[in-house]
Amino acid sequence: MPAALQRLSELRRADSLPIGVPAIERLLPDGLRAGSLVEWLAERGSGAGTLAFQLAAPHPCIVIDRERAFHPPAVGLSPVVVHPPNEREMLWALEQSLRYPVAVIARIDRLNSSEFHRLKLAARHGGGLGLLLRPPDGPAWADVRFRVTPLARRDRQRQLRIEVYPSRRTALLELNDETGAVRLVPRPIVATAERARA
Amino acid sequence: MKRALCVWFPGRSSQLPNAPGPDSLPNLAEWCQRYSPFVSIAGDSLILDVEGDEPALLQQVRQDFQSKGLAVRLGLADTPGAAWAVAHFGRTRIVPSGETGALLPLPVEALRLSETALEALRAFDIRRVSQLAALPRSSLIRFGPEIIQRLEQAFGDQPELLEPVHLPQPVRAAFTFEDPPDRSTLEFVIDELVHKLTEQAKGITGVQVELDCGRSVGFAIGLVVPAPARHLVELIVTRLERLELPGELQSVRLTVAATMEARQPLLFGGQDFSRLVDRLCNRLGRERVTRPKLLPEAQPELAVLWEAVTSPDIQNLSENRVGVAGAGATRRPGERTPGLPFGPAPAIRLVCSSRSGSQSVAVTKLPRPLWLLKPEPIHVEWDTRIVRRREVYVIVGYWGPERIETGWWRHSDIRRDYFQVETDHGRFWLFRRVREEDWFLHGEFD
Repeated sequence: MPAALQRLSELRRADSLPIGVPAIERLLPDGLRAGSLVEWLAERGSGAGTLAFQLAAPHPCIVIDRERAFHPPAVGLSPVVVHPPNEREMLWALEQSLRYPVAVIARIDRLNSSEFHRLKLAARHGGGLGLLLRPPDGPAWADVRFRVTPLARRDRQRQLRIEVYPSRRTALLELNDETGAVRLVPRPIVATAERARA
Repeated sequence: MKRALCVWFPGRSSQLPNAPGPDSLPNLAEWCQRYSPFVSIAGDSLILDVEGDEPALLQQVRQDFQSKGLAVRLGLADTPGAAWAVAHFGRTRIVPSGETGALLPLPVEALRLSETALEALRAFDIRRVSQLAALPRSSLIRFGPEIIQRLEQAFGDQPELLEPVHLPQPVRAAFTFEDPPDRSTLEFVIDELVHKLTEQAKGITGVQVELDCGRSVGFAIGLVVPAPARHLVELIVTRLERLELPGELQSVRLTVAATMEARQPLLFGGQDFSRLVDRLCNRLGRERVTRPKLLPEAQPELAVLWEAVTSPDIQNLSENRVGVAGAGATRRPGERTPGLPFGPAPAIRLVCSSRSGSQSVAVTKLPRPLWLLKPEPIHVEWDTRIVRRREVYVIVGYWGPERIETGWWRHSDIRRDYFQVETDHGRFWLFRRVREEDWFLHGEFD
């Protein structure tokens, strides 16, 4: 391999974060860089939250929970959970947390581009992983985005359709409610052309 | 003239006097420094060297301890022995100088004698100090040197040396401004002061900051684990920025409030984490930075206790990943997921249902939603659809009921049938109140 490319691939590996979910790792061929922000565009009740927590699991983890809704028995995790009193303090806490090499999870409904930019800079500085749960419609800016849509089934195993940006790959994931196991349902990966809001 | 004040805590006699806690004798001794620089611990009480207005002092001490919630008995006399005796056994509080007569009616136990000595006296039916005092010295010798010593100490014929509790001088640094400072000057000064503190005290975890702006204003900075000076400076300056000063800043004083011994370097992420936690606590308040603790509680909204983060938590933080189910790890059947309140319960059967019929499903873990909301009243047409905030969710399937009820003896007991409901908008946790038969949305399986 030419020297330049080799160095690049080494660089890539060096600041790549471990991804704890093999199914999602398959969806991110370039891996996840340290200092990344990931946006999950999904409705509440879709299953995106569980995926986010699973990605956070290998790292020291902080949850910024403005609504005081996080319920630990669901994931069997005991992270540090911050309860900011309002949106402004929530953004502050999020920005502060992103400056450290930790995984941060937050649900944010309203965000504008300059606020996002500050978060992005903080994440880059910190070298950790920011996982932002966002509403499905509405602006999004992260370098890595997952759009998650649940497929309603009578099965206890949940099925989620997941679409990744920037690669525009889509896939079907099966999420086991009890064990939390995530499995890629084998099917041809189709690049979606019609996504306007990615 | 220096006299002795004995402070006795009658309620504590059953406890070990040196039991740790805010009310331990060493801590109380330190607290009593406000009355006298010379405080010693004598058994289960404190002895202070005092002088000045004695009735006022006694009044003050009694009031101060009352507001602390501690009952005290006080004795003030010429000697520690007499003060001790009066506090434990007498009715008088202040024994006027030179008046040794106050001791005479007291029982011999008031002389702080050992059990052996007391037994010896009882054998001779000597119960009161007066009886003892009436005996010639030559007769007392037969009881051993202890009794003579204690008697003479109480009456002032022999000096008693008490070891004052060596309380470290508070570590302090202060600065007075000639002109009201601007921000950069203030930062510089705080930096200097903090460095002075860290030179004298290692492992600082608490600093009290006092500002004089005509009026006195103060606040405390707490750290989870000791940090370098620069971190302390930053925390202090950040707090100062948000403070509204009642007047021009004239002086600032920093006092070390708490220290912790240096620990082993923390695990990767640990040190960084504690800095972050300090920052968050400093601005949001300790009670808003928490770690969940699961309680054995059926009512879901009461099942989690949010405790303020402490320093052992920081060390354990890297372990938070252990509990995640799945995520590539293989699970042995029956293996318990740490942190979950439910073990691998055998035979929990939920009725799984859809319009086509129902079947029984065995689960190993009771389903719990990732987000638990405040119960939201919703309209349900069972088992077809839900109307929530004017949106219709079509029910595709459900699992349940899981009956959760708490005892009638509770203040507000609950009887709820919970259902995990799959809709075209996602999976939700609903409950129906058994008595009222109304429906609520309680959680989102995100």
